[in-house]
Amino acid sequence: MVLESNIVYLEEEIKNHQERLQLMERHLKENPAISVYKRKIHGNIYYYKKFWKNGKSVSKFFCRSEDEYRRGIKEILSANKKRHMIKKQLQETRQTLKALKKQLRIAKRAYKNV
Amino acid sequence: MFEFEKEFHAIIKSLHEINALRHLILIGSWVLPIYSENYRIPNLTFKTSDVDFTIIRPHDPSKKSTPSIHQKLIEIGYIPHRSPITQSEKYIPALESAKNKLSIEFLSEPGRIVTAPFRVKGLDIITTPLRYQRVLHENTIILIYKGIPVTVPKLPFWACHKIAMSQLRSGEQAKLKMMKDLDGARIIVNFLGYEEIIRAAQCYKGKFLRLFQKGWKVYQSRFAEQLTK
Repeated sequence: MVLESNIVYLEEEIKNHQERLQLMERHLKENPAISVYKRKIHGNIYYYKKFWKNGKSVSKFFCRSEDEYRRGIKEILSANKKRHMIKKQLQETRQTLKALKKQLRIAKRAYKNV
Repeated sequence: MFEFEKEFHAIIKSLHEINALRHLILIGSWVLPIYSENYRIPNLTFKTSDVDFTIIRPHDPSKKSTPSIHQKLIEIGYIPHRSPITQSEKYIPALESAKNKLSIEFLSEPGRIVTAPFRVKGLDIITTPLRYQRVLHENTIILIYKGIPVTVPKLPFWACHKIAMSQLRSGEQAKLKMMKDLDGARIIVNFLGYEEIIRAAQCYKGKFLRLFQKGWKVYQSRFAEQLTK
């Protein structure tokens, strides 16, 4: 494998990782972690969703019956789980990107010295 | 460095299961592991993470895979991602996926009118037209990769196509990319001998042959030592 190929491969990998990183960051921004809490108002139970948006904590009405809550909570939990996995992947991608950039710097230096 | 062979095998296996591989020709650097399994050529130590397939006659209404390629790729953990600039689409690993690292792209020969990416209805994927794909379409061979029949371009045509395409590279990194293409072709040139590659290129006339000749000159100057061996 010639040095030029190595540089091109590394640059392509960096580009792919950067694209992926952007998509992950956008997904995390658009899909905040949601928690659900219940409140008793005038003897009735109401469920509310709570999440962070633009640096502020937001509460939104979710449902009022327990059946609806049970149905809806599954979706929220799976979205939260997905978010958690993406967050983990984001960290890994950042680390890989850092390593790739370092390798590219070394490869470029070697190419210049040839 | 990048060891993606397990994932590559899983993609090929999944596409084979839905009978989609008969419509697709594997191109790009990922043909090398298939060649190396069937011929005595050395395998690369690392490969690009882009797996490219080309489609012959994408408008053919009989072209179908059940379930669709799109559905299958989603199922095995890839999501479509469209480039806002070129409008081309490729399948990238789902954001939450920890095991997938490769991306998959579909190409085809451009038509007289069709030059922009378009949807292949029967396969449910978007294909990007790219010049001189017909050189690969017209010269294919079915090789077995870990028990799965995969259609790939014949070795000399794949190499001469790489050499010709190296001359169409543009942009900031054109020179480096050109060298990468020539380096990929070098594996096949060293295995078959340069006469066979030149013979394959001469099956085509016009601009393709001119591009090949231009690329071949660069190749000769870069890898002169290996050619004289």
